[in-house]
Amino acid sequence: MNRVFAVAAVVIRELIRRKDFYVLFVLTAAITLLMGSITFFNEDDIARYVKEICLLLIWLATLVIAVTTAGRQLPAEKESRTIFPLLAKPISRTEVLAGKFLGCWLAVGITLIVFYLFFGVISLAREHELPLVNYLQAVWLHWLMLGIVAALALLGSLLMTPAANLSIVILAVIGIWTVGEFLNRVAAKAGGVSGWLIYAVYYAIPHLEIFDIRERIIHGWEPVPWGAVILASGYALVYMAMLLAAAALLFRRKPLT
Amino acid sequence: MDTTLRVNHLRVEYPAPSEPGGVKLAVNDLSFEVRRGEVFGFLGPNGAGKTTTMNVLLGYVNATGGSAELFGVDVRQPIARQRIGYLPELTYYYRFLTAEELLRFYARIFGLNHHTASRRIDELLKLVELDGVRRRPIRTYSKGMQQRVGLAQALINDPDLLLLDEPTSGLDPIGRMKVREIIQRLQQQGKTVFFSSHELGEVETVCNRVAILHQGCVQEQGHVSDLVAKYQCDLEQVFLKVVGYPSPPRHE
Amino acid sequence: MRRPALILLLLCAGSLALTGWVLRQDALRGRDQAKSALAVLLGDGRRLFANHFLAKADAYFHRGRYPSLFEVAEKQAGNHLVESLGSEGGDAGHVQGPECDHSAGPGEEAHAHDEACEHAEPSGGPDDWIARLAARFEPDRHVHLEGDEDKEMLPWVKLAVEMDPHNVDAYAVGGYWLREMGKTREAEAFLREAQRNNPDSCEIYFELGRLTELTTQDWGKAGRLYRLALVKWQAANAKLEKPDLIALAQILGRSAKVHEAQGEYEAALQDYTLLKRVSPSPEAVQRLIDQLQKRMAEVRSPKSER
Ligand SMILES: Nc1ncnc2c1ncn2[C@@H]1O[C@H](COP(=O)(O)OP(=O)(O)O)[C@@H](O)[C@H]1O
Ligand SMILES: [Mg+2]
Repeated sequence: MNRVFAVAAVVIRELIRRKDFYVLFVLTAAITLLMGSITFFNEDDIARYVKEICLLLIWLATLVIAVTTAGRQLPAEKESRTIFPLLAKPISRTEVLAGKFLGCWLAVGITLIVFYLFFGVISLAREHELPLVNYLQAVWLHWLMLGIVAALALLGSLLMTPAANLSIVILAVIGIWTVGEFLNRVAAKAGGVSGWLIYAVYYAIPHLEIFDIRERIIHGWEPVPWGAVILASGYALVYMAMLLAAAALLFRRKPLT
Repeated sequence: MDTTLRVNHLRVEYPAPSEPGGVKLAVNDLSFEVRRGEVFGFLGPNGAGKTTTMNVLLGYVNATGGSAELFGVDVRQPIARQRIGYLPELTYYYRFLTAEELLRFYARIFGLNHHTASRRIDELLKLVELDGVRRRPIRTYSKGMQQRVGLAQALINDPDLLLLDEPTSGLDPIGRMKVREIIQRLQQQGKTVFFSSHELGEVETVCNRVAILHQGCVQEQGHVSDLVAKYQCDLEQVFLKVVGYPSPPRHE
Repeated sequence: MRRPALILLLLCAGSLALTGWVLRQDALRGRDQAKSALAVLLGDGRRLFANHFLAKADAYFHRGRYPSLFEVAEKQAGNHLVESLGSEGGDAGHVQGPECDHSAGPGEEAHAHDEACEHAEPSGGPDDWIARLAARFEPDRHVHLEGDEDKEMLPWVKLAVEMDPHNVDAYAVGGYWLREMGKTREAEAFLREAQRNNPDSCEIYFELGRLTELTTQDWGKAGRLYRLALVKWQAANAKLEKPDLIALAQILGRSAKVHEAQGEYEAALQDYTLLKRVSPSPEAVQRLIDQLQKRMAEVRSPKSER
């Protein structure tokens, strides 16, 4: 386990020392503040659209960070050939993969905390209240979602070139966000063989949209029932485990040279 | 004397759609042994199959035929690599880490405790003369410094056997001399060193024995002095003869 | 390798930033350039954005509950706007309520109606375990904004017309809500801007009429605006195969009321008679006609007695 953590620590260090994260954070903050500075119809204190824009930017920025960080790990090891001295040491490929994933997931978690702190400040300044429980739920669910995304990107990096992986994972994620929850209806409408196929896709894909409680946060709804949060956490962990197991199988067999 | 490394009728094929037969034969019926405490030079021109052999020893590439053992254990077993240090050719270490952080990372993988790791790191950074720049990111290092970082990481676990793949390639004369000195110092400490090279000047001075590889086969092996005596010329000319290169006229 | 996505995000972010900048410039300069830099930049996609923003305003009205594509489709196929031409008839409160119809606006009737919908099944789709789990994370009750929360919708209306100054619905919705919030000056300015950008729209004249009616009680002016609205409606719908009868019914309904308020019973009766022919609930209109005729008789009879 110590070996897994050692690998993870390097991933986190990399994220902290790269510029991407800072660029995205500054952009998010700047756009939010700019949008927040507009007055509509001489009405001050309009809060929700600022929260919405800020959250949208956070979702996009952290998606990009998660996919690029996770998708880059193994190809970069191969490209810089660091995988050779690493695997010459007493560490298995599965441990390397686990460490890479853990590092990405933790790094994304740190990113999320920074971004949501900014969001909290904006929300506090605008609405003069800070529903902590709701925000904690939002961060937690968002983190689970990005865990699935990171596992997906890690798996994809073993199957595709980095550029293809990046675009396909981002497209898939945005596709699931937007239409994932409707596939069952489409299937019901389509019927027949195609209906069954669409149902199969519906049940196979990780339903990332579940983890999106932005509307509740923006419009000040009460927290999600904890039972549902626990269920969703289990759901996310199962998907992460499956994706990582597939990645581990692939990585173990993949020739290095 | 015990055998630290043994390669027996090793054969390695790469899938290569462009070649006739669909495979590229990189190593063909290769056999040699490295004994404990030896510095063994693994010589051959580019493309001879040196890196491929190293890759088999490290378990990165599976042999098509034959066998290879480290400390009497088949290389396919991960335990075989417990006591080795490896310096790959042309590696760009994590550029965002400092030399100290890099070594600490590898120490953690070996499960060294913090105190032992710190001591080792201090020793090694002194040995490879990077003590003064230990807190600078590797990104800012010259090629020679990067190669010495590589040497330091290969030694982090105080290994009994060192596999060095072209440790001096791309270095200037001073860099090479430093690497040579380090190899000699390791031998004095009783380590076994197996290193590949296509440059011969350095080999003569540090190696006990050499094997000369050409197109995947060992053409000649033995003590440097025996070979020189046998062919009546220096190692460079032995090398050229063995790989079938017409020897230049001798100036007496 | 990570460049494309970064560039994509930068572009998204950039366009958002530009929106903000353009809006700010407009605000600072005192506005009106129908063709703002942003509009040119985004080309036709801006109409899509405008509709999206308008849908967002509607979702904001429901505290974040979006009508899904399916709900919108079902609605268009099924219970299309059953106009209740009561006292508040025909306000453009919001355009696309989910499964419930709010076209009556927040009048008394509307509230009763909403309560009936409050516990309606959220989406009415297939009921599998994923859908059931997902439903617990979404806003799951049908509620509306309360008190001064109304203002939260305004940015999206503004962004919608900024994207597409010809989005008459957005102007109508915005005008309605500004009026509801008592921001009559802003409502007036907004609708005037709408009129400049859409001089041929009957909806805008109608909204201006409603605003005049409610804020100035100047029935004469309101009536003139409704008359203009009718003219515009005629021009736009005369040759259409399926004329927009709902818009016509709205205008006629208000026009009749205004005539009635001014004591112009004959004109009101004329409007009602027309309305009865186009309204989806002619019985209701007939009742209004009966009432009006009773009033007319009352007015006439004392004369004849004399
Ligand atoms: N992954 C590979 N696929 C196909 N051919 C390879 C691969 N790696 C090396 N080779 C070929 O095998 C031969 C030996 O290569 P290598 O062991 O790298 O030589 P050296 O290290 O002695 O220069 C070369 O002809 C090289 O082209
Ligand atoms: Mg080589």
